[in-house]
Amino acid sequence: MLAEITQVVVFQSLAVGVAALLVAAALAALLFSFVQTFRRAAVLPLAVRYACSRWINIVSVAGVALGVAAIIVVMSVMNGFISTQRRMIRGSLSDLTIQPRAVPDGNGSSRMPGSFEEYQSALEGCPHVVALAPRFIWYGLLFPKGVLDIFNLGREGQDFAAKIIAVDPNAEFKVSEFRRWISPVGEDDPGLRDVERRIYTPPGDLDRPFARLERSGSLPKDALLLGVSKAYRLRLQKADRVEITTFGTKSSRENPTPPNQLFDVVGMFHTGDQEFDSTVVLITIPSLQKLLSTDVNFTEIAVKLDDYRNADAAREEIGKRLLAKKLIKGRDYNGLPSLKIEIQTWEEQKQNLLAAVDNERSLLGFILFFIVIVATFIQFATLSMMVNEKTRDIGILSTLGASWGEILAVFVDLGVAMSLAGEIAGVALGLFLARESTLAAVERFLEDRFGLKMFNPDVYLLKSLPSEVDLVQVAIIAGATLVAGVLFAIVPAVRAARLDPARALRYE
Amino acid sequence: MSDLPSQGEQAVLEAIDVHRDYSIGSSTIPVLKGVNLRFLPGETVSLVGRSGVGKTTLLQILGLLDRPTSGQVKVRGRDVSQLSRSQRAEVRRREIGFVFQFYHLIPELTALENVMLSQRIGEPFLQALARRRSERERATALLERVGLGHRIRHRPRQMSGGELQRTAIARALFAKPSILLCDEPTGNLDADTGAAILELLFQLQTENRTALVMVTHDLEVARRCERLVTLRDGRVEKEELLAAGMPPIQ
Repeated sequence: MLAEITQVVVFQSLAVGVAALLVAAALAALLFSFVQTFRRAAVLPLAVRYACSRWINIVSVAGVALGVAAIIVVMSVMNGFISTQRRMIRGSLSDLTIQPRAVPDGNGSSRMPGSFEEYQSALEGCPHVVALAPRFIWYGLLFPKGVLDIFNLGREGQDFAAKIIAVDPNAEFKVSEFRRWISPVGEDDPGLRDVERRIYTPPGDLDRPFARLERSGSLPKDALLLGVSKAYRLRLQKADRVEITTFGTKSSRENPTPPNQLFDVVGMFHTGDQEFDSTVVLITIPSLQKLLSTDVNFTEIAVKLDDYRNADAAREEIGKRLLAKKLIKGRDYNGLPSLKIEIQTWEEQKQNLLAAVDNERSLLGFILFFIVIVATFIQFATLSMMVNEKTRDIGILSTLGASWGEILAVFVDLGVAMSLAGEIAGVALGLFLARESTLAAVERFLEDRFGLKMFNPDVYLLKSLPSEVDLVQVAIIAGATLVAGVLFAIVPAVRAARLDPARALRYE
Repeated sequence: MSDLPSQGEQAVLEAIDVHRDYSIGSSTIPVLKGVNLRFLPGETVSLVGRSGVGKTTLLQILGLLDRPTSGQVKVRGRDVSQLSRSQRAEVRRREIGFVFQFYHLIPELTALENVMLSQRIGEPFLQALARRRSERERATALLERVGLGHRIRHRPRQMSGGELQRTAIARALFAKPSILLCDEPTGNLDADTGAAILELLFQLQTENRTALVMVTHDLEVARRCERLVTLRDGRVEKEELLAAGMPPIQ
């Protein structure tokens, strides 16, 4: 293990060292040629004339431009994907979640270390904490009333299984995007199939999402909000009646009948997280307390922060306060002091998925940069050919008194000019193509003209190809391309500068 | 040798016991075997000899494009044969102009730009920018002087051989060198054009008091110079003083 870590560290340091060396070499060459260009009046006009004199230079510039544009477009689409995926992955999670570990209650069962109100008072005025909301999480089976087919459990059991999250709607509004989940579905909302968009029905009153339904013929039951995907799978609609069966808080010997209760589906929700929307049902905390016959009013606390970047500082402060009141254990599974088990950021809760998505982007960027490297290779070949072609000119420049520095600067300037021209064109083209409207137009064109479907909304659960241009990323791409361009220009330029003038003039 | 340049007069260019060997594989071929020559300001000298005798090699060594294997090259009394590449480039820029058989103009530049190039090399960018107008006027005047006033914006590919060589001469003289080295300047031209070019070359050389060293195969051309140096087997075989040179070729 240690050997592996050492190997990774050595490899990383080496890679960083080589990259730093290359950047330093490119900067040194740039600086040198910049100084020469100002010190010697012949350098720039010659470089510009050489750059404009051959059509193959335009091919080389176009190669760099296309490479840069391709990276910008792909990275922007990846950014778009990642930020929508982050929204989808985040789903219901608040900035921080406090999940205190239950303690034995002395009667063979367990209890929470304190009531929600105790936690609330412990965190009163806590820096960075804006709001708290209790959540009571339980599991059970949900059956559409009247269509129970128990022998289908084997096949469709997972659809009947439900994660029951009991919330306090007013507190929930303050810590999560609860209002968005229960709002009518928008065109841009990700994470829904078209069929789900069609069946989605919000609750009647968004301010009182758990208000009971007025029904004719029978008394209204407690309200339940159903994830839109679960509703689709179980073919449930608003106003349908469902039954929840679960296990009690006490052992089955004490409580032999599993608790069960009827609920009315008062609406649906859509968080964008498919898994969440297909497994979760939302009810109120009193409903769950009634179902379980318990006075426990939470199992976790959702925390809203003033700024997510303060998550670590907030965790420290919350941890300190809760530890002082013995409301958390503050230890990891090995018994070592740690807050990360009981107080987690949403990213920590989804770290595997997020790491995979981020990794995809880095990998794609790395692979795509090879396009630029190939393009700069073309530039390298072009410049090398030019040095061969211009051997006699280099001899002439020497007879006129040009120093090797001047000759070197002419060819470095030429490389930089070609690289810059390619980059400027590439960045402009990339920024134009990376606009969502352009992408949509290209997508439409390809589909109408060639029947090519670039993007399937049902696979990615998005209405259209997303794109998010990150200007810092564009600057890094441009910088790296320039470095590559300069590095590839150095070799032919040095060859030109080192040419023996006497031999160069014999080249006729 | 008493009628040759006196030892007391300051030579603008001097070769002292210059040797030049070329290595091919493991064998060494001596091309110059101890050449001694002095050139005075404003003097015209032709170098003649059979092919392969080392005329061009000597010219390149005199022009600081090549280093002697041993011996010295002095410009205005200063030994320049052991200077660094950049220092030799600097001496070349200040003191030496070249005219070649194949003109050697930069194809991407116009006649005017080719002429101005010799001044721009080594000149700071801002200074060149400040002096651009006056330098342009001077270059235009020089091109007019060589009969190319109507060709200043033309590129080399749009010009005839004679015009190219006139441009090359203008370029060589634009930076006001004290030494002009010519390698077969009329070798690629027909007789009439060659004669006219030669006439121009001598006129400008006289006006600028530039020492002119010309390598040629053509004895008639060689005899236009004041002094004729014959090379043989890598050495100076003989030096003849031709008083004021032969009359112009008609």
